[in-house]
Amino acid sequence: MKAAPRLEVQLGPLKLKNPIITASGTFGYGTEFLPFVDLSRLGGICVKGLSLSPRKGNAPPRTFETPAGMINAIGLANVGVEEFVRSKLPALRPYGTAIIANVFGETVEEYAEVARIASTGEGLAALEINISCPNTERGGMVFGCDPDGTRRVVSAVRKVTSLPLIVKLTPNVTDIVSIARVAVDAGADILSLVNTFLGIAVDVSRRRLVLANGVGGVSGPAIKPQALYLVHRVCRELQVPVIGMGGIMNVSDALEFMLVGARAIQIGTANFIDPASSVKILDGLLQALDHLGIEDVNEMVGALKTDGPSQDFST
Amino acid sequence: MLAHANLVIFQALCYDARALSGETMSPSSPPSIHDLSARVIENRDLGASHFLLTLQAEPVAAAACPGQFAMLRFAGRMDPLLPRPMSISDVLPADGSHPVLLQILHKVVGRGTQLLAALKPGERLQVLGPLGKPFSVPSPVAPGSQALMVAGGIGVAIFPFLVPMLQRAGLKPVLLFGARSSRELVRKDWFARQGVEVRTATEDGSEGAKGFVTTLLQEALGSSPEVAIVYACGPQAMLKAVGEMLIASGVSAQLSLESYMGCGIGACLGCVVKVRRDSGFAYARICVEGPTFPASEVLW
Repeated sequence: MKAAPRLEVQLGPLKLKNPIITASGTFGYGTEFLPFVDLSRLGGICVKGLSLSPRKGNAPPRTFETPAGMINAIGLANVGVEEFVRSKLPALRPYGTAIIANVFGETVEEYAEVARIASTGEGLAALEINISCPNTERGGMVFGCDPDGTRRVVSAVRKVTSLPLIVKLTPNVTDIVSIARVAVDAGADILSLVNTFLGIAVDVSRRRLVLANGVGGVSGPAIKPQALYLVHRVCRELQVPVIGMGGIMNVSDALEFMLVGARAIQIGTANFIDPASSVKILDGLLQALDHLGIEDVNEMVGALKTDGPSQDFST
Repeated sequence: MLAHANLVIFQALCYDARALSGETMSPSSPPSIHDLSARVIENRDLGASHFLLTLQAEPVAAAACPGQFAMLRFAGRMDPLLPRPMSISDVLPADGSHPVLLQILHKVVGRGTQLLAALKPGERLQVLGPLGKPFSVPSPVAPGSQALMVAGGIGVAIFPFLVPMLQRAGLKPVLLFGARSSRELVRKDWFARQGVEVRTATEDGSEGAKGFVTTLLQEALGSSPEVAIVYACGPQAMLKAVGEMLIASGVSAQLSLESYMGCGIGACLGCVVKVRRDSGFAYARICVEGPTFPASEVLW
């Protein structure tokens, strides 16, 4: 009997039992998905972005469907980092899955303070710094769009935590590689990309913007080619471990990100469409590797062939 | 403090069958939510772009309570991407035996509902549910008490399932049904056949009172001191007007809100409404803290 393919991946200091992580902001605090997902099977869970104080978020409407995607401006509603450490984290600990706290602040000092408090949480596997949220005035993108802002935030957080540090990048920049490089130089162990693309939706009959916040972040299958391109670029230019995301809906999408160099992937919007997407993609990955005769998922990472384009037009 | 505040409200036991079989819902038990591929039994064209979709969805039907909803989607389809939240209109059989069918009453308003309208018997649709907080029914009630169901347009979809529960509780159900025109007063004859008193209003005056359903509500509240509770479902402007009238009158009222939704299970935080909390306000998720809200709680 053939052994099941090995799924364990190592991202710098962070070891995951498999490369499937649920993306921040799409998986609540994890327990919302208990009726649908055996949380212990996941490689990791990125919880909803945490701030120093609880936040109510933006006024509605907050979400709207777009072609093959959606746009959202939730406004980083969350329970606050202290409540997370006190009640949400302990509820997730028994599942033996890597719990990743996504953190943000309005100032460099606040980022560091949130990161420090989060790091006191027992059993936390890593921090993901959100310098890429488009939906609040100071929700991080002001830092993530600017090399100097990125450096200041990442350095400040690096000083207060010994946990593996993931920096989540925005695609809304001219040159993502330069921001990525600054993040790594400032102490990031891992990069995750991409967050949502800035967008708006217009209601013609009412001649108004649809979202109360006006601008929002676009996600879903509509952004997959753009996201793949950016992950591919960063993986070619830098040696740092990368977590890829952007419109991953099925195992084929996941493998595409791994082939261009992502060592792990995050499932985001797909969790809204089918709450069991994450484990279904994990099952699909096992089947796909088995079918391809691949014994270790790491064989797929960066395994893109560069000797010419695919000539298969059968899709 | 509103007049109804000391009224005992019990969370209705969800289905006839459950009550009949002696099975009860423990408040601590996790919600029974199912995600299944449902076969279309019938998709009846009711005219004026309204359709009554009947699905074979036994576990969802068996677990459902009046006021709850389901997320409908076409498995694997990426455009349109998001599942559509739809009120559970009724479960069948409705005679108290174990329900196996789910009914969704919907109106074509966009691409998602166009796809739903095109479904043919034998085709499949993914159903996630039942979701959300159900309606509750006051108990005990004074003999002869009325329960008003205020429906604006397609908001009527949520009420068929509620009718037998009201009748079992000893309430006399009255439907106040407003729509643009006579053609959109769908299923009104069905309600009448169940013994529901139906009063109608149309914006174009083609049937019933000319104007909005709020006119009917004003009359009902004025003339029927025995109104025990009001349920309302419809467009936001209607719910706001209804809510304000009921707060002023002191009659207990439950509003069923609708919203765009991402997930339907409380994760995306997309479908919020502003509600009164403690001394201030909070954004409550319509999908899990609602869609049923006391009228006194919603801050428009």
